[in-house]
Amino acid sequence: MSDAPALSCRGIRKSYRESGAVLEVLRGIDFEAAPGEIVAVTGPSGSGKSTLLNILGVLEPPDSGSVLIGGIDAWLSPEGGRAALRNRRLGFVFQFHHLMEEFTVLENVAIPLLIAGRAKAEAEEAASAILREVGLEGLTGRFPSKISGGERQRAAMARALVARPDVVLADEPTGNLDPVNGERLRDLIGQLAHDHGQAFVLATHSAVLAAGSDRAYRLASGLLIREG
Amino acid sequence: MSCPVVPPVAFRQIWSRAHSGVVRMVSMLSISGIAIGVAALLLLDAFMNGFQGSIMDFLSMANPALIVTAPGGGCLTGRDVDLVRALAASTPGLGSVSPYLEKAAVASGEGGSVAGILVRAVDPVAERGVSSLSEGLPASGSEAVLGSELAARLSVLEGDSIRIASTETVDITSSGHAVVDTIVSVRVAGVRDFGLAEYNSGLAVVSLGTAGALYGTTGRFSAAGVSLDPGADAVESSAALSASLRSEYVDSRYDRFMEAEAFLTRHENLFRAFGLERFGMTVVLALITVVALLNLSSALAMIALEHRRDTGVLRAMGATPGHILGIGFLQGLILGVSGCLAGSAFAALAILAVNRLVPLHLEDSVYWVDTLVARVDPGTWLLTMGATIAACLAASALPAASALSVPPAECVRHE
Repeated sequence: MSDAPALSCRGIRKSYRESGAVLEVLRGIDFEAAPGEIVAVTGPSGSGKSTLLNILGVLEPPDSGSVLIGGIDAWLSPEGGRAALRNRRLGFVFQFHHLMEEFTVLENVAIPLLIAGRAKAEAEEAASAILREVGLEGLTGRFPSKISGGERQRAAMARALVARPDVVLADEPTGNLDPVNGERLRDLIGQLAHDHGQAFVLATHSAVLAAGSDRAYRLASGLLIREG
Repeated sequence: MSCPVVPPVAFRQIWSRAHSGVVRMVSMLSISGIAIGVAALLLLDAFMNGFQGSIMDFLSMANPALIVTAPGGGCLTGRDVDLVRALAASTPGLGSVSPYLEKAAVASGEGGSVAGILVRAVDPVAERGVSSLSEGLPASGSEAVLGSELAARLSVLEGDSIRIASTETVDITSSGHAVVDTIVSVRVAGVRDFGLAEYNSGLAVVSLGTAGALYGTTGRFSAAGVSLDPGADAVESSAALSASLRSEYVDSRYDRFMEAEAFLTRHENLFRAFGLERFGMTVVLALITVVALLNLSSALAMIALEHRRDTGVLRAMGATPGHILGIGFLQGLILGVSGCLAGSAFAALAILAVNRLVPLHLEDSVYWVDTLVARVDPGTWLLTMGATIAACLAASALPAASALSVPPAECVRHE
């Protein structure tokens, strides 16, 4: 495990204007995640966890501050550079799996590699390997609508990991799962972080998931407070 | 745009079975709309080509491509015709030359039926190189080929005799009676459908020898017909021949001024009217395609909206704005090409059916031709398809841009 952070941010501020009033969601966030580290961010609904993850994931620009991914200031990069960062260095897991309904599990998992320009056969081979790793090798030809919620979320995890990113950002990954599947996913995250040295940043309500992390923060009033 | 993820995403979103199959149905409706628009334009073009072409063919079949006359109504002599032959031989695109005499006459059948006719006197052998008028007319002898309707009016068949009286040699006696002193009796060598109603009802084709006996005009001609080589342009060739004739008159001091004219330009107003009609109908039918394109645009916008979340996920996985635009444009292309192919197939089948199986009959006294045929111009066919596909791509621009306009974070927000 290297000490250089896989992901870091400095002075992130973000506010929204709503009915003329300014709502300040993030008020100077400093944060970093090292390779192989699992960092949990908890907080009540509307506290800004998803906004923080979107900013860290280069999906939504901050009002000010910087996000460094592998030493590159993401928000100073052009659009093409930000897309490349999302493709090669970041993986996303959403609360609702967000698998594409028209594609099989295998095809869904292969998509990040196809976006990277890899050949279909090569992408599907890599997707098969990661699906084996998350225990879905028997479901490769199924469509998302034909598998269970827990299996969908594991497939989404496989999709986030297939390009071997440095950082996986997971927004409420167990929020839509029953406790048993939630614990399975937590164990899987722990195993993957250990095996591949990827940093995981989890925005979660789940105390169980937060307890399994290496570091936990609580987001309150736009500030990150270290909890464990 | 060339990313391997773009084609499968574009294709599967169009044919998506998700969302209750609505997307698939909307895609099918878009394709149908474009197919109808394309088929309407292709069928209009094919039938207008067929109708106009049939009339041109019939006019050309019964007449030489170019006609050389002496302005002012003077007759041509054998020497004039020889000059035309010499100039035609040295002008690219021009073929044979055949002089003819055209005059009015009165014909009567064996049963006493009488009809006013137009006598076209030709050299049967030379005329074969210029038009099909002399088909069935022997090289010598006092015989005539009649239009089918004229033969019916005179109640004669092939092998019967008719009498033709010249209206130019009528003497009026002191008692006021008309005395026609030039009447020839000719055998009906053939009864033909000349293709044109006005020729069928009043044309008699005879040899120049018969006309000489009838009108006493040996060695004088109304005009000289000139044929064209295949692919030669009638208007350009007539201009070239006219220039040569003018040069002979002005520079070489030839004693007769002659002019060449493409036969079809005598019907210029008719073909301009065809052109105007075709333009008007094309504009009207193109509106179908415009409506189909608007429908396509709204369908693509709906597909983009239905897959907004997928767009956000693709962006999160590293898809660039170019990929998202590529998906939108490719969807427009798929629907456009499918519609064009379906419309082309329908038009081709309809044309095949009308030309081979179910001919469309027309009233020939009104339209000159008795059957409507369709003729395909491959260039126009390809142009119609190409323009439609280009328009489909243009119609895809707005939905593709709208898919890109929503920030990716907004697309993947919790539902």
